[in-house]
Amino acid sequence: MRMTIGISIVLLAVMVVPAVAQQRPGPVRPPSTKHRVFVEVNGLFQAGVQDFDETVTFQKNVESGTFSADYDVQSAPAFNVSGGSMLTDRVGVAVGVSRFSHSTPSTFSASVPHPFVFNQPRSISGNIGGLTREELALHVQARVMVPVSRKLEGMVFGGPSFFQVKQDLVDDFKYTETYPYDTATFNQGITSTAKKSTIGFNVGADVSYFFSRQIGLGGTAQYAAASIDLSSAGGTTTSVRVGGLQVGGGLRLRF
Amino acid sequence: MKRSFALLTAAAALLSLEVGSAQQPSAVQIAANSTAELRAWDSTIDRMVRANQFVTMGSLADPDIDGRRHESLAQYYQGIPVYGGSVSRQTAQGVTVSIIGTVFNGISIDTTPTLSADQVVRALVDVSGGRLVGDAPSLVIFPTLDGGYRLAYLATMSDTNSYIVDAESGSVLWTIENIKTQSQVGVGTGALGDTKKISTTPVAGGFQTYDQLRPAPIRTFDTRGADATLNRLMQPPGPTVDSDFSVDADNTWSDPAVVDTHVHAGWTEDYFFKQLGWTGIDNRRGTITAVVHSGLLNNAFFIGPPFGADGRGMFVFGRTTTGVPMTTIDVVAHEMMHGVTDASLRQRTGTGLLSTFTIDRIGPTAYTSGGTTFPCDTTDFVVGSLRFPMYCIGGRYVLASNHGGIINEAFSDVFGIAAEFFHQPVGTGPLRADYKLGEDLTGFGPNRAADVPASLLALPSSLGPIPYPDHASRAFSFLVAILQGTRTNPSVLVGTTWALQGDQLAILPTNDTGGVHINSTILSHAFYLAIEGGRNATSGLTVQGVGAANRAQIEKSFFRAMTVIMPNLPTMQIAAQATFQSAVDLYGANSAAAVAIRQAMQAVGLMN
Repeated sequence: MRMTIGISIVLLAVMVVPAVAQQRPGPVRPPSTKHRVFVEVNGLFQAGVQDFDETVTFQKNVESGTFSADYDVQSAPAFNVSGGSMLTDRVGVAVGVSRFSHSTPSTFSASVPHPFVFNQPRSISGNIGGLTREELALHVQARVMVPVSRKLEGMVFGGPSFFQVKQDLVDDFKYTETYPYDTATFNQGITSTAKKSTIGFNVGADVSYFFSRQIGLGGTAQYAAASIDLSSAGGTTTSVRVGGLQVGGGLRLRF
Repeated sequence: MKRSFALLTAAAALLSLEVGSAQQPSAVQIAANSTAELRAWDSTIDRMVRANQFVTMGSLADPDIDGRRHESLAQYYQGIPVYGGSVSRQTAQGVTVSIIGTVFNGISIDTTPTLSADQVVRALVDVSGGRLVGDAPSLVIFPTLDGGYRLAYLATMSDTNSYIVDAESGSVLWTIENIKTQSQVGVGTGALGDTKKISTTPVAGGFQTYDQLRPAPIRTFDTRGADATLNRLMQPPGPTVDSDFSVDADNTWSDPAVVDTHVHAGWTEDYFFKQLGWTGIDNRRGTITAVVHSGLLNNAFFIGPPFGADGRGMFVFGRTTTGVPMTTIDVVAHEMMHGVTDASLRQRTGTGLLSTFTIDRIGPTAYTSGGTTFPCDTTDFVVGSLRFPMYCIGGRYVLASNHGGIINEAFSDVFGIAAEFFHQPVGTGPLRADYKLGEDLTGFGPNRAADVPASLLALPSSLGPIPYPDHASRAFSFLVAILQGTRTNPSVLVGTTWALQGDQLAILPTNDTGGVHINSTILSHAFYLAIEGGRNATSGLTVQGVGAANRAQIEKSFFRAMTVIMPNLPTMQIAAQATFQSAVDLYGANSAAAVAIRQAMQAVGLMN
């Protein structure tokens, strides 16, 4: 659902910008033709990240137990720097780097086998804070400029994204129990950081207003995503969707 | 002389603390044995507190002794805690009465770390594969095994270990495993092929039957059929050795005697604790010892202190003649209840439940058997070539039985049954809870039935097999003979194997130590009736039981009767009254439990 909305916003931007351009009377000379190199520095807000969960089966007291961790991937600010060059009046290429650091608190629950009898597991639950996700993404983009006026220009772009992801995952947990061990209390999650790289994609649109020939401000909306299987130190593999809809704005430079 | 020496010792230690030696630093263990040493250390510690070399970490009032406080002090060096340097000082009304702890002296190192805490964390991430948890790494002075000291960081990582890392080199000096595990859980197969968890302790090369997960540890020893081992354990002081334990290489146990004994002892402890609020056997977490492969046939027994392993009593389990271990849950719980009875009575009265013949009633002047009349005054009890004159009062036979023993056995049956109901689903057949004792001993049980006592035969006799009694009027009562002395001047009496059940005289193969087992069903039947209700077949009286859902009320009433109220020389009637009083205490005089117990005791003829 979130992904659908994100794509819709991007498509809307793509459709609106040419429409605005068509309302302008007479031919418009694109300002970018004189400036072949551009740099964008954006502050972003990443939303629409998918929550995920992992379920782990473990052996305890000669019986199988399970624990589940539901990770709440929260929205977070991000930072993006892009730079590129126009190859023609309308078409260019760019490379961007974005970095996000998300808090991903986990709701934890487990079924822990009893030490004395079979089939009488103890249920425990708790919250695990302090978990984070870091995404470092390199976006390679083909860009199409949509001129609006001498000071206003639009741009749509898309291409592959290379993600490097660090995600804290719950490997194990501590609990307290006292005789007769019929109940147990969650104490602490034991975590490790899973690291992996993968390839995804990015699409987006950008609208910039230039105060001078070289400096302007712009707003951007980008959807970058990939799916990745992360392996925890405990050996379990969890499928995680990274990236998401990023909206923000910042400085525009052209040379 | 002693005082001078003590002062000298304390002064030497004090001197050592003050001057020290960078070359030979050492730990000083404080355990002041005399008043002089105590005073010397007291003033030393006070001075170190003033010098910030000791910091008070806490001061707690003693929960058990008024006026006592326990002060905990930690050693510091230039504001950095010394790992392991701590002292516990106990005071009474402000006067120091003991000082125990460890002080490290001769510390002389630079307290400026070469590495930052962040650098240490990064190194530990690689070492542990985890990440920092808890507080940031903190500096400590770490005494090394060679007697030196290192400035180090203490950090806890997500791999559950804490690390002490050299603040100069970054090398790990010490790893502290935060997960403390002594016992392990294995799996075993019982005599009926049932699989169950077994709590054991890892040792070199395997695991041994030492359950330390429960508050009262359980040891299961294996004599491996050696009488010498059983005798060693039995006779005071009952020394134990590590090889007494049963052992298994992979914690997957297949010896049914070992598995059932060890597991069922644990389950019984669980039952006592969870249902009755009683810890272990003695309610004081005393170690429980069970012995298997004892060579005992068709029996199991408890022997109390000072006998048994380490002089603490023990439970010994045998096997049937067909090799089935006598270790079902009801049998094990039966024996363990003997332990509880013994321990609780000893704690309250100084003795266990006394096992002795007491006079039930004065019988007839004569009885007739096989057409022959036997007057008490002229009849002898014959054992082989020995003749013992019958003991008469006014020319009448004296009838006696062992009420203490009967009550002991009855209550053990009650809690054998109760533990079985606690751990097994209700039903008939193997591993199902019912009111019979030993019914899962294949080819041997059941031994007794609390629900319908007369459904089982107590003993063969001259009258043919005699069923277990369900009423006091059917209790076996034994004729008494004179073991030493004469008819006119008897000195030692003995119960014979001639017994009256009602008005029927029967010659039995044994006197069952005064009918302790064969009469136990009177009380255990009352237990059954108080829970399930029903009609006593002998009296015809009907009991309104509390119902199976409320069985805990009856169990608690019986347990309280034994552990709180029972005198050490009771009769069955006193035991009945104690049980009723217990229910009144717990639930009220008009409670369903009290009414049920009164009706049940009336139904079996033990209360009016």
